[in-house]
Amino acid sequence: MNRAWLKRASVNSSVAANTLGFKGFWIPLVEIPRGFPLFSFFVCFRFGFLAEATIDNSSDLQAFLKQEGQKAMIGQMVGKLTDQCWDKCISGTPGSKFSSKDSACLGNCARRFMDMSMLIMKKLQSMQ
Amino acid sequence: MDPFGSSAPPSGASSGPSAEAMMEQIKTQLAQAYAKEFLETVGSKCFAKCITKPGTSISGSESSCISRCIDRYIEATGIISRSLFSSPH
Repeated sequence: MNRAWLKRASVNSSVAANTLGFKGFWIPLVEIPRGFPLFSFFVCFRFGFLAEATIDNSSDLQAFLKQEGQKAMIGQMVGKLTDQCWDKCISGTPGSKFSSKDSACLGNCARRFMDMSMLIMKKLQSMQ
Repeated sequence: MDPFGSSAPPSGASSGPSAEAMMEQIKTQLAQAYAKEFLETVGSKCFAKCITKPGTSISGSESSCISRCIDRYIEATGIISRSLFSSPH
């Protein structure tokens, strides 16, 4: 499968997100089978926004954008996860430290979310 | 085929002052956006937990609750980012 296009594309997701005011959680779909109608994209789960990759010839800028994009993506994922896991795990008024139950719940929450993301990607791939 | 429309590829120099200035601008924008989102989330969570019955001013217990809430939320962010990147699948 020719993946040159995937390697070439560096997604300007962070700039796009800020410029357009889109918040939300971006995951990369790293394996897009041939015949799937869309090109490389990042899916914003909250808004269903599909961003076309921007391709830049400059390697400096491209490397920078890719790195910043990845950092922003990870940062947004952590933010959204903390938001949701807080609601799931922390009941009642916050104390001066977390109980062991609360901190275990937060850690499990993050790991189970990653497991679920893998399941989703596998399911999508099997549907092609 | 491109059903969603291409964004115009950025023009300009590959390196040099204009690219660096843009990189700085992007970094600043990212930091600002991240800070804004963080503030909104913390504010929302701590308002829900600590200000259950709004009075004519914020009481001492409410303000210490808010302070603890912010500390706990930052701690929760740390726990979650460590869990994501330390435990393998």
